[in-house]
Amino acid sequence: MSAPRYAIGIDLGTTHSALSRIALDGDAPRSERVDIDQLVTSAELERQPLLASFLYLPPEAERPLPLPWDGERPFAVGGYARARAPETPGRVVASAKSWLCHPTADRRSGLLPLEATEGVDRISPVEASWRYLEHLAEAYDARFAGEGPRLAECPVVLTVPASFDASARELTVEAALAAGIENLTLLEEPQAALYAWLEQAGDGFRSQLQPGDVVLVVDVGGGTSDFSAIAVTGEGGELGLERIAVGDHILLGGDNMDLALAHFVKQRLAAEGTELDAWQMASLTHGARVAKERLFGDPALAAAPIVIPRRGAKLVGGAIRTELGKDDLRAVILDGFFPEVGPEARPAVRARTALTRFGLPYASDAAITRHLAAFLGRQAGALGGGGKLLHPTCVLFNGGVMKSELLRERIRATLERWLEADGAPPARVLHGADLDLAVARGAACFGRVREGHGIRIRGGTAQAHYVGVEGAAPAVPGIEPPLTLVCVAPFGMQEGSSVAIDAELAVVVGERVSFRFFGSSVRRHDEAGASFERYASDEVAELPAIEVELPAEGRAEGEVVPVRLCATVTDIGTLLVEAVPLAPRKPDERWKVELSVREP
Amino acid sequence: MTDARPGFFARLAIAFATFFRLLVDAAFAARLARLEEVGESPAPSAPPPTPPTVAAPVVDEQTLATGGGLALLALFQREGRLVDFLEQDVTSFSDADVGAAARLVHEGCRKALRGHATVAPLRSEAEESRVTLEEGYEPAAVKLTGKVATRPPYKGTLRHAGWRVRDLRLPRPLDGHDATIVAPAEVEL
Repeated sequence: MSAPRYAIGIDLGTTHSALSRIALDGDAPRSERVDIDQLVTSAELERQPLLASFLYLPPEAERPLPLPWDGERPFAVGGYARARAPETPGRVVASAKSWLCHPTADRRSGLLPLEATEGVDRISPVEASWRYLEHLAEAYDARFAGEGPRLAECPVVLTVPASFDASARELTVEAALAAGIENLTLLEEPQAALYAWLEQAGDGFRSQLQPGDVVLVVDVGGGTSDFSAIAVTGEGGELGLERIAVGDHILLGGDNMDLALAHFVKQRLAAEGTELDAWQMASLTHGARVAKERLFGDPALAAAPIVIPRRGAKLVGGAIRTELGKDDLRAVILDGFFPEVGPEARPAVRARTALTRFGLPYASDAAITRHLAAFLGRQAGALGGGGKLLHPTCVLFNGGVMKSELLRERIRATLERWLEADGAPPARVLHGADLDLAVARGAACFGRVREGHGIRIRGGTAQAHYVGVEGAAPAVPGIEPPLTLVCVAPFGMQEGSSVAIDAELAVVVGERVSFRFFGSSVRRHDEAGASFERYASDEVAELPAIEVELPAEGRAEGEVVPVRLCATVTDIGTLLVEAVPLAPRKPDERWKVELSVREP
Repeated sequence: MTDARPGFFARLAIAFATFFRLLVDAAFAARLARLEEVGESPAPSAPPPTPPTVAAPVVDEQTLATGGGLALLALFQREGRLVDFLEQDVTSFSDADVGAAARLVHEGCRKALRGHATVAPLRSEAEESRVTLEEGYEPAAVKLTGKVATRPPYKGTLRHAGWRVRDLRLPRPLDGHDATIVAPAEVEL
């Protein structure tokens, strides 16, 4: 009997990561969750379903923080790191994933913790992601030692938000490679959620999805909200799935909601004359989350108590007591984050002030329903139909926040009103798998789909990409020269495909030359090489600049070399842009254009 | 010394008392360790020396063998501050104060218990329903009260359905872990 073969699925989340696997042989294998050994105190290990995406950088006296597979580890990842976060925030890295797609930060440089205590060696967002993946791989290998291949020997599917831009995807791959994971494919999280649903539905999915259906995936996790639309097609009697649209990257999730609740209660306490310190605030955030879950879980409850204890060994007496009412929860969470808005509602855009403190670009509008209306409105033409909105026929919920029946129902009912106003029938809810673990399971399932088992979601790249070329115009003070956008990679490029464009681009040997770079999730008909100067501000977004540096091999320093750009979607699922000289000095001469630029 | 054997509740009380004394009294632990080794009664005349107040505790094998209990105590303290609650004298506090603390302890310890153990009722019948115990019933799993006849079958009313731990998953200590520290002191800098 040959060794068992598995595909691995990894959900590298903003606040939690999950691991899953599926056998690649045998009759109709099912994906299984793989629990993860991690420190829960400085020297105790526990096997838990999720790995908290936190990293603790201890002071010298606390080092090492040993693991069974490494007695000298100088940091800790997982539950213990999360527990330390409110206690010593200057030593704990959190939300590294949100930093991976930061538009202006150098994501390979030591940035985190942002407010590090003096003496702490900050690490980069890429390194934090690398450490989480490394921990998952090591825990897997320690657990299954001798029972099969190591994790890095299996095909690994790693999920990213559908809204991750090309450079964030590339940096995710860089982190995986650093963790020793080379046999790698990226998969968009909402697609992974649908694969998990397909696995759970089994053959029964054919009675639930028909050609013409459009599945809206609403994924609200701890740190981000992500929307995708996937169409069901029918070709020659075979059902097909095609991802037709993805939403913008929205840094808004369950953590924001818990914090909003805690601040709401804090303000009420302050009005009653009770001020809280940082420790009490952390305790209140925890208490408010517990109260929220209790109220969401039991519709008959009118209020849930919150107790903020004293900190010392004397627990009884002196506690601050308050409660969270059902009405409070409705006001803060339901109407604050999921207001009943019209289909024409759009997120408020807050003008960025010049002195914005360096930090994460959190969504400036907390209303998830407004972001959803914007997504459906912008993608109205995704299927070529009329109407003011894209018309989903089914909704699949994903992410921890969507565990609440009340919130799911608010989104479903709001969507029904929008669709009715637009002359479309209501969308039905697809009942999904475990909302915390579906993405990891779906990722493992996709590893099997890649081997030819089961239906595959097609889609290609979710954005068209453009370089900005400044036109030659007489300099006029105060007026920017006109910018022409040239499409280098059209919408919907499939894995493994390439396009080349003849744009008149010139690079200087020995100098770093950078280009402005743009993406659009709605311009689906621009072909490679297409250029335009005018566009609506909401259809094209500027991405981090891209950069190429020509080594002087065989050329004189300072020589100007005309190049064309060639874009390829790699088998991993990243975008590769290369500069190819019009007059090569040697066969197949080309240089990689960096999408995720280092700081100069 | 007579050979009188203590009953279940007496044994339970001794077990608890011994357990907590083992945690705090190194000399007692050492005497118990000797008792286990040679099967003798402890020397009744030797008064326990006063333990130094700040020195590291002497941890012998017997104390370490109670690591599971220590891990459970640490877990309940970490998640629900159970040791704080039990160690505090609550007689002078109002029911509201004790109740507020009890909510915290209950919420945290319940989450810890549910996350680390599977505890299920021993009997599936509803409490206060009539039950019959046939010959061969498991005596350790059923405590008979009232007028207990010499032999089964017993017909009676189920007053308490009992509990059984079906699964216990405790944190695994790693090298260098001092299980006697169920809660480290906290110093804010």
